[in-house]
Amino acid sequence: MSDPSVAMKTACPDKPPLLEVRDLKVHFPIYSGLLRRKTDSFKAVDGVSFSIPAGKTVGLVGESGSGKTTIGRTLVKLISPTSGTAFWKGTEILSMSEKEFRPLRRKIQYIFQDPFGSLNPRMTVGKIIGEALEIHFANLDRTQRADRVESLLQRVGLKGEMMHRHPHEFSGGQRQRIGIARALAVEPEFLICDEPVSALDVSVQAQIVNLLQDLQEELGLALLFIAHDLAVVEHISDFVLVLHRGKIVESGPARNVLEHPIDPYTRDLLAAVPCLEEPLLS
Amino acid sequence: MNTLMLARKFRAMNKLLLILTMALGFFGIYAIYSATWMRDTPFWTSQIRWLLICFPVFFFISFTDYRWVRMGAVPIYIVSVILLILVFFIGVKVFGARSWLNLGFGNFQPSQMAIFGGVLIFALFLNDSQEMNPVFRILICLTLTAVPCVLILIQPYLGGTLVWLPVLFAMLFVAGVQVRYLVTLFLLGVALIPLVVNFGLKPYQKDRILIFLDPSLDPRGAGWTINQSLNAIGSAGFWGKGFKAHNTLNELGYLPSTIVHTDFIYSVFGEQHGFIGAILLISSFAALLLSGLYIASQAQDQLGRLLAVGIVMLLFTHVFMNIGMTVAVTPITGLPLPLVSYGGSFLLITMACLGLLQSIWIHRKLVY
Repeated sequence: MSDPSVAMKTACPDKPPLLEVRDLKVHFPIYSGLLRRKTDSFKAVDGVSFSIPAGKTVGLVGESGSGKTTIGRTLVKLISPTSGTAFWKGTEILSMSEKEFRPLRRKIQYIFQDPFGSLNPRMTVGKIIGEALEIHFANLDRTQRADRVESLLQRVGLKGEMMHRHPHEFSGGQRQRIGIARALAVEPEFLICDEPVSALDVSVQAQIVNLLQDLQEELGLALLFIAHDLAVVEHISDFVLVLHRGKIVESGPARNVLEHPIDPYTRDLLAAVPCLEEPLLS
Repeated sequence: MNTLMLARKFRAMNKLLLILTMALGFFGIYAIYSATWMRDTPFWTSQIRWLLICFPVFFFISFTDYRWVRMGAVPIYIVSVILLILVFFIGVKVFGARSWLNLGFGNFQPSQMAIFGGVLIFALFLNDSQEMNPVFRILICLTLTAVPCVLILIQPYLGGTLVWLPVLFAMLFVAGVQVRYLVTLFLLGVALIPLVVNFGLKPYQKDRILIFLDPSLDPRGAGWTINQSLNAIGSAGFWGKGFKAHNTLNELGYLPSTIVHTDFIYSVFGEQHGFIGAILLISSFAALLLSGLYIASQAQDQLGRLLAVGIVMLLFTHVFMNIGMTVAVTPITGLPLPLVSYGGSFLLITMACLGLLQSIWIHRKLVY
């Protein structure tokens, strides 16, 4: 299999990589025995390399437990890598201290899978989004922050006055929009979308995916779109990485990979997608 | 008892306790209405009916010299034990526990009567056994506790059993049993906890303890109620969301509708009236309990003092456990909030207790 970084650069020669990951490994120790000694390790991510150009979407697909979320979380330093490097505009980020990395947290934002668990149920939406502004835009006063929250909510298709409500007053799709608004609040350049639609109804999934595409177009965002739904990935991604047991088994432009898969695992993954029989469709 | 004497006794009542009793009783109707106004069953009207039954009982007990306990403690205790046994044969099962007797016009929980009977019999025994060896006093009290507690535990109603222990400890302390015996008894109880947890509790009761230790363990399952309760109170802010506010966790059904007017009424109130409402309610209970302790300190005899302390401890345990479980300070035990939670039998017992406190106050000096 070709190096996905090289393949990506070839596919998008005009776009310099915003993020470049090289030989990333994340191994989790396995402890056993009476003294809980480390006896083995689980290779969640095992030598993964890829790059993401500015303004493009890279889809990361694979079955549950293949290491997709681990890659996303490692890139925002929620998980420490075992080895490997990641370059943000040419600067290595994985070895940075928390203090050094803090300014970059504004640039790299994360949208979580669970729209029910990712918002603080005891805060209003205005406070949830405003908190991010308070940290990263400390010069804004209360009124400016409220105006900013209002416009962010409108940008993701919600009403400004909804900022006074609590998360439980929203549907799953609306909560995910709030999660997106929170991520956008700090004007990021790169969004890691960790299965953002997998907990939602199909009709709502389409709305969220379209919203992400519109925002990407409008703001020039780069996206790492983690998903196991291949139809969604094909719809949104320019480039696809197929992950299996912590390794990338196939990569390339989305249409190529999903219409003409080479690796048997990718074929199995595609074959596992349920489809309606023709008589039913008619 | 003629009218003149009644008027004298009414004037001699502890006014603070009377006002708080009335206020919390009426507040209970408001709280039940605000928790259930969006539902079909009018629980608040049923609570009004119970309150109308309870007020005469309260005044009757208040104006009757509390020394009737000398004659009444043993029969009440025995009748409550018989009722607890009857529950197994003709009891009504509610939410998995066979704890109720159907009286035709409503359900009655004999375990509430049993703890009232327990306070009376402890007071009587501890008052009459001051010369007895403390070990025997403790052993006899434990035996008196064990009989109803085992019957209540089998129902199963863990909260109804737990409430006996602080009451017994407080009354033993006031009865003059030396602290070293009480510490020993306490340590023995602590040592028994692992045995009780591993062999005495049902799986759902163990879950409640695990969830108490870490509410995030199973937020969509066993930890649902406590997490929603924390969210309801935590999201209310300083002033709360307001009376009959829309889109509250209660109205939207996040807080289970079966318990919002009983065990989790504080969560609903906390969500609607925020920090300021919660402080006011807790302060009211604090004033009520302190009035009770003041009455204990002013009691004419040891029997009155023991009764007052037992009643205060009984009410305190309910308030502490109930509010505590809604804010994850104590495990979920299903104890109601006195005067506020929906429920006739507990309201009746609470009113009887408060009436007894008033009686101890009224009859402390005057000879009627």
